[in-house]
Amino acid sequence: MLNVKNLEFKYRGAKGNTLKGIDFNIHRGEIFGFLGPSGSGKTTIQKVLIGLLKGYNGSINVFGKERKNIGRDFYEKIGVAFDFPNLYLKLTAKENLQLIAYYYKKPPQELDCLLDRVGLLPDKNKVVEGFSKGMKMRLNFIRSIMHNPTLMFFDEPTSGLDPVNAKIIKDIILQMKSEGKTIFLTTHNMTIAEQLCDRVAFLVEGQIALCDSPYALKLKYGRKTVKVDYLEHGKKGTSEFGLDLLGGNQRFQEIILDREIISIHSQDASLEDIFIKVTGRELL
Amino acid sequence: MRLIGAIKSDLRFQYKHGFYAVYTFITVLYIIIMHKIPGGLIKDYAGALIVFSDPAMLGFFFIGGIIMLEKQQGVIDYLAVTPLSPEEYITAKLATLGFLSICAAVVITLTTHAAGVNWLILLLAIASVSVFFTLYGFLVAAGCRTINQYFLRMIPFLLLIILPCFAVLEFPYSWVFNVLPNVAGVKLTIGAFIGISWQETLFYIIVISVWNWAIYRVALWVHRGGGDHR
Ligand SMILES: Nc1ncnc2c1ncn2[C@@H]1O[C@H](COP(=O)(O)OP(=O)(O)O)[C@@H](O)[C@H]1O
Ligand SMILES: [Mg+2]
Repeated sequence: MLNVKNLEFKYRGAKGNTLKGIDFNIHRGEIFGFLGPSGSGKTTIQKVLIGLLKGYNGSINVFGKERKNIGRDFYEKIGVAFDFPNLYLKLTAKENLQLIAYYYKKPPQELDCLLDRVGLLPDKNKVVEGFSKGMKMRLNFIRSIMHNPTLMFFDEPTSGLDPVNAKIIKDIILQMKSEGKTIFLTTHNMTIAEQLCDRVAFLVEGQIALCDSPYALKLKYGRKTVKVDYLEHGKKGTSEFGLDLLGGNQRFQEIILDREIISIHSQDASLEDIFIKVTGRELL
Repeated sequence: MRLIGAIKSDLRFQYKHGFYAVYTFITVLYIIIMHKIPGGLIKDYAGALIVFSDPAMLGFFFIGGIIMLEKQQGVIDYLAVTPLSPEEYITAKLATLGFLSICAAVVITLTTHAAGVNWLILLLAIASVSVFFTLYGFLVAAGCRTINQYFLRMIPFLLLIILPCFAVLEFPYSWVFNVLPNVAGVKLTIGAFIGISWQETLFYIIVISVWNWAIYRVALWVHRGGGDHR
């Protein structure tokens, strides 16, 4: 569906390349996530892929053709949501959808239904200027999917949303995947990536540090551990042990046998831990 | 059809941002000024200048305001990832502002100059001049990221276009300026009020058309990202 080879991009006036030779493939029906700290180049990749930033090196093959050579028909088939809501501020929510809907050959889906899905139906005739950031993000999101695209690009789709609304957006994304749509998304939120993505790419300073499914990454880099809290000479202590060969661990046995145990939890390495471990960087 | 959609969209946008209210106010002001001017040749010239400067300035300033608003709201980036083509995007702007110019020119002329106006020439002049100035203003705004940048850049562009108009004052070799679109536009508009030969009319229309074609190509190139500052 989308094959990218040795993609490089340099902003006009910038010192070096912002994207430094990126390779990845996205398969049909997959949710593929780009993860990385802010400034790593996630937004830049998305803008290059959708053709908003021109003049890349390398190859972007999408729908079986080179990106540079695809005409405007491309935009009938893709849906794009930017990281900040870019809406007509003086127009109403409904007008914002209707005016854009004119530009597609396929008549957009039932607009009221979409508005209702993200809780904006009661506000459909209100001017967007007075909307909260979260409301704008939701409107921005449904505008990108109203024409029923097959490939979608979402830049930080849940940023600025409260947990309830973030869940609504995540559910819509998962539903679209179940309908066979392909989704590219970027985020700096590991939990989102774990919940949604079939595969993730860790992006650091314009390069992919690692790319695999969250499950495989955890298997490979994560170590399952148990965390034991206990009392030792009246003071609280905490120790962590790997699950493998736990039975033979002397210190663990000592604690279990002789100390007063407060709690025992088994822990899974999170994607976030893996990111830090592999890249040596925090996600911000 | 996408172009119709874009025109509807632009009409709505311009209306909601108060462009039409501002324009109604300016038109009324022009009409009041015209009524204070005594009749005769002076009035013909004054009428021509007002009717000319009207679409010119309207195209130039309004397109700047529209583009900067679209940039600030980010919609210009969103439109770039819809099937709407750069040609359709620009054409819709030319059509809406051109229509507004023609309406204003007709209202001003009808209320002040009922007789003796060559309407065909007047409409041709207004339409072609409006296209030129809208595209010219488009180029000024295209490379700007902030309103301040736009205001700074606008001034030299504005002077560049106003100064040659003094060529209407006939000095030696002033005819050289006739190949400029703004001078051709002024002369054509004046001609609509005081009379003009068909050869001259044809010449000016060709001059403006050639300029319009050229500046349209440049505007398209810039809009497609040729002068990309991102
Ligand atoms: N218009 C621009 N011109 C020059 N450099 C830019 C521009 N936009 C972003 N950058 C730089 O490119 C890098 C990647 O930015 P971005 O793609 O926005 O990262 P992310 O989305 O991961 O936060 C940053 O170092 C940023 O400073
Ligand atoms: Mg970003």
